[in-house]
Amino acid sequence: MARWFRWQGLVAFLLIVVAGALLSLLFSDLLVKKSIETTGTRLVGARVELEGARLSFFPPALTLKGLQVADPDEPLTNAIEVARITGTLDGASLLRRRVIINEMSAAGVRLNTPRKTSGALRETPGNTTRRSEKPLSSQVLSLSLPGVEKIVELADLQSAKLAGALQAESKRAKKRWEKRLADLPGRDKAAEYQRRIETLKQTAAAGSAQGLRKDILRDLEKLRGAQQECAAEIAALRERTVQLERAPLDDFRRLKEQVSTSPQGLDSFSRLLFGPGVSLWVERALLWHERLQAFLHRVAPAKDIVRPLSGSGFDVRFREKQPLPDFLIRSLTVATQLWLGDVVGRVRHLTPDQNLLGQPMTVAFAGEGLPRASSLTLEGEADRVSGPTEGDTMKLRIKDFRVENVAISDLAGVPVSLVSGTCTLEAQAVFSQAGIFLDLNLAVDPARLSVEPGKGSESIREALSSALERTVRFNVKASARGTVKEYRINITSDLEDVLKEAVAVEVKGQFAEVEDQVRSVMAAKLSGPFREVRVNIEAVEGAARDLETRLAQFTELHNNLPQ
Amino acid sequence: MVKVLAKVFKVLTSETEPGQIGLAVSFALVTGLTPFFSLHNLAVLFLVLVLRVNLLAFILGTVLFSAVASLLEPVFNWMGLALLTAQPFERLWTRLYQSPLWRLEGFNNSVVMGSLAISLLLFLPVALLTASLIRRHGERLLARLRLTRLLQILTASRFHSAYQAVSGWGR
Repeated sequence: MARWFRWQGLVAFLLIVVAGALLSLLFSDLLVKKSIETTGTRLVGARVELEGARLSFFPPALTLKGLQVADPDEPLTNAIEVARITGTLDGASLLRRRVIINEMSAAGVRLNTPRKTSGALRETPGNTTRRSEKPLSSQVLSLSLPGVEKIVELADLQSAKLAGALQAESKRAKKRWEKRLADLPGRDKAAEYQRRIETLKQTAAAGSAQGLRKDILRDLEKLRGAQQECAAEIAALRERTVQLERAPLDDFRRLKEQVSTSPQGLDSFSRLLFGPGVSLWVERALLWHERLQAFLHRVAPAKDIVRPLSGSGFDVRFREKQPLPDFLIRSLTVATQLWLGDVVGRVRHLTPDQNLLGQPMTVAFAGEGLPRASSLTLEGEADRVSGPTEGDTMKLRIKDFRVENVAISDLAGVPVSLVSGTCTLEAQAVFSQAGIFLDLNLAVDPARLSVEPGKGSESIREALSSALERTVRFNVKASARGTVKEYRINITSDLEDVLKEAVAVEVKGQFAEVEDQVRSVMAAKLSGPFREVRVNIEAVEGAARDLETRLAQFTELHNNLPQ
Repeated sequence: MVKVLAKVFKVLTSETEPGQIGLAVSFALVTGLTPFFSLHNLAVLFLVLVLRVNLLAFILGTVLFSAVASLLEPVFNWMGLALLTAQPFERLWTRLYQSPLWRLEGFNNSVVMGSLAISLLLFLPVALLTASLIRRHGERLLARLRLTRLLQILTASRFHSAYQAVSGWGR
């Protein structure tokens, strides 16, 4: 036996095991801290840091202190900061490599807090490129009229279209009649008939006279028909010419109206005023929804095969009597410190294995009589019970929250801000297989708006100032529809009419100054086609005159026939 | 201090029979290729310490195979998935899945299963091959090693004298 066994080894093994166990106990807090920081950082895509972690074994419990989750988009800001998290662990489940927390509470939760150091990672995971149909933030409304040439170029001139059409039509008519005239009996035919008449007179053959009469009458018929057609075509062309002459006047009236209401063809002031804010709101909502996916559902290449929460490879699941998720927080109580006031909420069934639990994750936050709002409610549900794209819903309502000095947007180089207001916000988000449905309704009553000195001209500032400062309440409705990668934002507001009116006054004044120039540019633009139309019609009229001459000539030939 | 180190080194380098070195390399294959903090590696450690195998070969082998393991991870993953999803084994895996001990072992992870299967499959061939290589080329290899600068420095040091003094330990 001694040849194969080293009995001292048994002592060494026991010593190593005891030392390992002691070291694990000693460094368990550090191991938990590192594990949470590493896994969290991987999932969020920015630094997740903990001030400290404490793992106790009898009973199994976990306490985390000073959790900071950096915002991947703004590395100097924490998306979430939590002062203290405590929870009790299910010891029996731990032996099965499962982290089941029945009750957990998070106190001192704050959003968007500043960081001392950057939370950016060296290698940030590539974000999915999303696209709204227009980059709202890059749209700038210019209340100054563009140059005269540009105004005419941008205008959808009916006269230009008419002139173009008539130009082509008259050209075709001119060519057609040139060809018809060549085909119709003319001078040569008349000369031939004259020769035949001369011969007939010399021979006095009655039968031949009858034949000649028939020929001349047939040609006369052709010429009369052509003459009628030509007259009708000339009448139609003349009528359209009269319409064309009237068209520039109509165009000018329309252009004037168009320029006054929408200087650059931009039809939505609401979009320009609130678009950048709404666009940012939608973009952030989608980004965080995407990031939360890792906490709601695991990568699963096939049924019962999932990516483990930590480590590499895949975990294969087999049938169990009582299947449970690998990670589950049954109930998480969250005490948040928002700028509106303290709000308490509860998150239930937080797990990436909802299919095993059979219940969706729910979120419910509520606060009444807050320092800056009368109430706040947030309700949400993320359903992954039957699959990764079942559907998520979220409803938020904040009633009577008071805001002061909020910059809204920069309209035509003039910053617009909400000096003070009481707002009621209702937002609803649905993410489903059919697409995204985001709706936002903001009512501000009372509202005090003001415009600040900016890059825009003084006259524009005055126009906007007088319009906005008269406003005592307003509503904004925004919606986003489409897919997560490509969506369309629609924004409406009752500020639209107020702003349009102000802009109309301003632009009408500017347009009056360039009215004559616009007329002459339009006239110059149409003069070429007009000239060609006239030339072509004259050519067709020439054809009519030619037909008349031929008719007279053939009639005379007919009259000269011997009886 | 030098004496203690020399004693430790002596323990590590004892059991120099080709079979003992071959077995040590095979055990290193398991600990090196599979995830280090696994339950089965505790059993391997027990066997390595209790059986008379060369500890230095085990330690060096573990380091070497750990480096190779990261390169072979896709192979382990593929192999593990194939075994875990194979119909004939389903009942066995399902039964093991119910046991906390096996769950703690993490056998249902594709990389754990794949690497363990491959290392167990290679266990005997590697042990026999290593032993055979040492029997055939061991002396020549040792002679070459003795000529290396590092070994010459070591043999000239106080550490070597201390090692010579404790060489009877453990026999």
